[in-house]
Amino acid sequence: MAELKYYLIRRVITFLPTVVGMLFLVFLVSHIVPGDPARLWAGPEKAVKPEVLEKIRRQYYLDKPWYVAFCYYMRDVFTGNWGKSPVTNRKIIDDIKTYFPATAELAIVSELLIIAVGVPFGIVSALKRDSIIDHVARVFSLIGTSLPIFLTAIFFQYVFYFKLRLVPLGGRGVKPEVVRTGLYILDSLLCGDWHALLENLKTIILPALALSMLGMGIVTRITRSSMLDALGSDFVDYAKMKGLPNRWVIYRHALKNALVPVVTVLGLQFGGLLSGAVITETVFARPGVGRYAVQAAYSLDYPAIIGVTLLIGLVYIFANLVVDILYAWIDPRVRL
Amino acid sequence: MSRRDEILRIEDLYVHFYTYAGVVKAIDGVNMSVLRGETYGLVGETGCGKSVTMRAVLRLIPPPGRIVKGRVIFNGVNLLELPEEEMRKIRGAKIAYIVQDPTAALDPLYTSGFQVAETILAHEENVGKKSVWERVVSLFKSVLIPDAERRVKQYPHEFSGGMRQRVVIACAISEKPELLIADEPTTSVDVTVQAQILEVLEDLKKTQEMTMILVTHNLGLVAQICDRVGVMYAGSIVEVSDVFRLFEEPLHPYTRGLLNAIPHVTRTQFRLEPIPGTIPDLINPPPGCRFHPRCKHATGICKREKPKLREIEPGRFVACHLYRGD
Amino acid sequence: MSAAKYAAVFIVGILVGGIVVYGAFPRKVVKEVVKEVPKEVVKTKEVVKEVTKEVPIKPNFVIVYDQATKIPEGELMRWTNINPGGLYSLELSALILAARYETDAAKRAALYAAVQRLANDELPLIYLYQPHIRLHYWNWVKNYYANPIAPDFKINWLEKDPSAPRPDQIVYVTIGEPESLDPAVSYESAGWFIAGNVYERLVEYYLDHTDYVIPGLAVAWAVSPDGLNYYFAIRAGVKFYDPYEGKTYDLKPSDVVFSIKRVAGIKESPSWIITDFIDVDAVTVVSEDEMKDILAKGLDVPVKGKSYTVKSLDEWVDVFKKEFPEVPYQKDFQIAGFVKVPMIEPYPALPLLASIVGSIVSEDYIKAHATPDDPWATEYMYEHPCGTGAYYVESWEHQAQIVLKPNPHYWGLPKPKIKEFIYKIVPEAQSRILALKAGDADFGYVPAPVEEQMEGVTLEHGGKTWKFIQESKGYDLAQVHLVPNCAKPPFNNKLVRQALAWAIPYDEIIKTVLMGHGDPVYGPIVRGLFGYTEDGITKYNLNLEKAKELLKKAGVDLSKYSIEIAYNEGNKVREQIATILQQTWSQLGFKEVKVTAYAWPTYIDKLETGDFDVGIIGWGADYADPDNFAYPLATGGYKFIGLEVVWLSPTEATVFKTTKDIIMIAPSGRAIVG
Repeated sequence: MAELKYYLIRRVITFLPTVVGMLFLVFLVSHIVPGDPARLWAGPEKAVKPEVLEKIRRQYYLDKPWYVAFCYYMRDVFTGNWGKSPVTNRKIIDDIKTYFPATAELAIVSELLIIAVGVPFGIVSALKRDSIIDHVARVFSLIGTSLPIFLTAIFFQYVFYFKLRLVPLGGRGVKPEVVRTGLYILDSLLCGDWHALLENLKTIILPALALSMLGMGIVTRITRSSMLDALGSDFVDYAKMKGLPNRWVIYRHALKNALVPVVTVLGLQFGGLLSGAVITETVFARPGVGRYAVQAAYSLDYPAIIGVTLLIGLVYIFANLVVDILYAWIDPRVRL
Repeated sequence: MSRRDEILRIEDLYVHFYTYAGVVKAIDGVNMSVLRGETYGLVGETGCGKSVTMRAVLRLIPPPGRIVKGRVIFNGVNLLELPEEEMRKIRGAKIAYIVQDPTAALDPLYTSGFQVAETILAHEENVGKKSVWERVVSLFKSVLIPDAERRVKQYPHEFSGGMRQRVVIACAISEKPELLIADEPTTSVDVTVQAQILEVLEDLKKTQEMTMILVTHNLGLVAQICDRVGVMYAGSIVEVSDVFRLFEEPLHPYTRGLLNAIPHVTRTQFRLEPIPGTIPDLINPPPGCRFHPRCKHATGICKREKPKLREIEPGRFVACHLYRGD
Repeated sequence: MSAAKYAAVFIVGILVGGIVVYGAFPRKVVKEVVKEVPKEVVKTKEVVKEVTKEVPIKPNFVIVYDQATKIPEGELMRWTNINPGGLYSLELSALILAARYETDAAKRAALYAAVQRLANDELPLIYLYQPHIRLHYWNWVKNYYANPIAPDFKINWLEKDPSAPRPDQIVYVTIGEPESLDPAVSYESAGWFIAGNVYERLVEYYLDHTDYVIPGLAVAWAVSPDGLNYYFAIRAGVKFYDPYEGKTYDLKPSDVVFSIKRVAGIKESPSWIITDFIDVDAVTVVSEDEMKDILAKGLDVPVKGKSYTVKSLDEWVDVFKKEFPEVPYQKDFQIAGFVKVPMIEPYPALPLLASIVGSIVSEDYIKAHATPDDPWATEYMYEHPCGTGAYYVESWEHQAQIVLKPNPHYWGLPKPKIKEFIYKIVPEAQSRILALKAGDADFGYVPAPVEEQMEGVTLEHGGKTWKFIQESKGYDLAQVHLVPNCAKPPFNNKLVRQALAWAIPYDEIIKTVLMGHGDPVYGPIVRGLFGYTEDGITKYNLNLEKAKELLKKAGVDLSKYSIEIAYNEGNKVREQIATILQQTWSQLGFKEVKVTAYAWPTYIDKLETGDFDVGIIGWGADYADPDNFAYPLATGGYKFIGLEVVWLSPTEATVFKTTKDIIMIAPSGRAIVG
């Protein structure tokens, strides 16, 4: 386990340069564009006065050489000054702080659903290969990966909201009495606001289900095939030879090995969930970063677009870090 | 058959594999008898069914394979009729198996020490963690793994091939098995390591009073440590003998062919003589004696009737029509 | 320019011009009508522009100018000093400016009618259509009057049938999220809707009317005869409500002054509505004595298209007690004080002050929440509105919903009946439809293409069967048009532009993009604004023969030209229009008609720099005045010194013997007969 520590340290150290690298790319894209970048940062209005353009140039260091500008840019990013939106006139960082929790909540719940459904389903499917459950799982997997999220979202809404009246249309949910993290479900749990907790669960279940269908399909299939591979591997065979009880063979040896690729997929999924959230957020009227990004793109709110890019980039890098750490924790060969 | 104490007797074992290509009749009526305390060498070329036979003993034939017929009697009990849980208790404890490829056999995610400890924990109840670890460390020492205390906490990928094999051996002997099946234990290691492993095995045999079945295609190894040898070809035993007389005077044409294919250390040979032909297709094996297409001495009856294993001299068995009658 | 300078220049110009043109014109007319008339006027053939008209219009005014300078190409700013087509037009420039500064309502309408006719003939733009206002609501909602000028409707008029679902709550599902709740900052419909209900203005629009204003926070208004100074009597007994600290502030006349200065000080996108026309620095409170003195000199009171002259406070107040019987709170009022709003040049101030940017805020409230970095409290005002209106904002969950509740201190009538108004943002049309069908929403935005899903939808509730209504009520103050690049051949030829106007399937376009809920429009001014006329207008429609005839007359061979119809990416409506155009125009014989989509900034850039062939774009009203359409859409790229309209009596008019609409006479140049 000592090696795990060293690996962690090494991995965390590489985290920073990766972030800086990403910042540099974003910086390149946003500051070094054909045409006048100031015009882009000024926003979508038809006529922009020259003094406004000047102000923008100074604000975003467009009048400085790129290496200097980049340093200022990095300083800004790390101090939370991500610019101001010319469309909403709010600080980008404030907008992101407002909308990100909704998306994070949705992504986390979806991820949990994927894990809770996809992994067991895949395991059982592999253990009882070619049985009814296996066939059901494979069909389920196919449906999950083929149906476009737009269709499932609208369908769920039609059935569960409109016809069965079980859940609300959508929206943000109910703010609990004490808001600490911005994740309403967690907050209502922490402060014991059960009414809010119930409402928030009802509000999030449909979008989370719709969003996780694709992931469930993928994870079921990957878990199944990974598990089958593991069950047929030599060390599982050997474990049986040693006379280990079946439970140990399956859950200790086969499963842990099978989970290695699954963990990778689950981690990368998370980043994908954030971007897939756009459609879900639109259909279920949930105000999150996905929709914010689309609005920004639509209204050509350049600073907001760059801000969202930064955010998603950071989340991906972070998700990768977590996956790598998990991976190293499970599989000691990686720690070299 | 000798009346000396039999630890294992395989009677009329048939194992078939039901594949898309057809039914592979891998084990076609194997009869084998292993005496307690001896080192029995099971020889044959790759693909003749040695490992399958041994796995059948442990009842670990993976699908699409099935044990179709036969009896495996261990210490007087037919293993093929035991409930699974009873069988599990025997595996790893009474009958231990050393695999051919230790790298694939060890789970990369667990420490080597843990995997040995597992074996102990699987077969013993109420053992304290501390005592288990102490035992594991001493096991490591007994298989000549240096720096055992440190090694025990390391992962398989941190060991060399030879060391991994020793870990496997440590697993195998942890419960002091009565029967140890060593399946090509030196194939995946180089010559120097091979010698070390043999040393370990020899040692064990003396100290633990184990019966060992050594499955190999390496006749040199057989000559070194085996007491008796069983030669297998295409799914059945064709000759059984004690090791000296086998090498002096091989009876079965196949055995003769095998020995002729080995370069002699002292004698000058003009040519190594391989056995002409290849091993038969096991889905549609040749009728009668499976060796007849390659046998110089094949006669009409060889094509029709499969020869049975018969005791020609005390302790020597052959399955060949050449030795019938008289 | 101030009135004195203006007059001085005019006199000088006349003296100079008189020398040049004296004698060419019948003396009698010259003496009575104009001081100078160019000799060339007689040579009508050269100077009189020809136009095809069905009805000869007798000219009834003459525009005289002193000096006209063409704005050089490098200084042209489309929508600002020239029309988007880039067509230079002396007549349009003069006519539009003259109309802008005219103070008499009837005369102004005549001038704008003339603008409409001239633009309809010159076609700096090719006008496509004006959409209807479409209402989509459950029939348990009463008193839903939609106004094309913000706010879309006033919540305090709304009522719900008691047996409807959620009888005290209204849920309005829509797509827009306000960019700010600060009326001086917001420049889009969502923010304007909220601010329109939470704040109030000096004057307001009544129900669905856009042709006249009614008193709001001002009980009375008047303007000096030169059109430069507006005066407002401010209503007493009005309170601002701050729901966040549970306080109220009284409305004082100084708040009006402060609000206007705040708009100018903040300098955000909508500020120009105030700052381009109002002399903000000179806006001031007027004492009662000063007011009486000013009244004594005589002030004009433009009300509902009429004009009164008053000379005393009583006379003034009387007009407003009598003219608005339909407005319940005008029966009885007190005056808290007076405010003077001077204009930079004569311009109708009422539509400007009726727009959301003219909302009145509380000076004390702003000062209480200002910081040294943010003296106008824009950060606090972004989501903490404090207004005098019938509703206040209880909460704003960004991108999700805004909850409005009745203002307990509301001074006006009708008093709010709906206890909770939820402005719910649901971006997906299908979801909105589900919410409406389920009765969870009362009304909302149903885009034209999905309207059929709500056709005939009913709901059982409270023992009744309710119907969902979808209907057209009036016109939106907006239009969509094509922008031909008038500087580039073949569009630089008027006949070609007219030919193209005859080659457009207007009905098909309206059917495709609006499901038929719209009508063609023939000039820059839209229905609902005065100055809109269909007299003497050529109603272009699909007539390919006529188009080809005109092309022949112009002597232009279209097969030499490949043109590109551009629109902004993602705009489905414009894409459809472009495709339809491409099909029809290809039949005119163009070498090639391409359709290309550009990203919005690129698109705007191309239009602004003149790097395009034909563009498709629209225009919506910022405030309800024809100048808001005529100026940006039709002005002709000329600057003037000394511009004056001279009105002719009918006999004088007949002298000119022409069928054209306007006469423009300049000492230095041509005469355009009108």
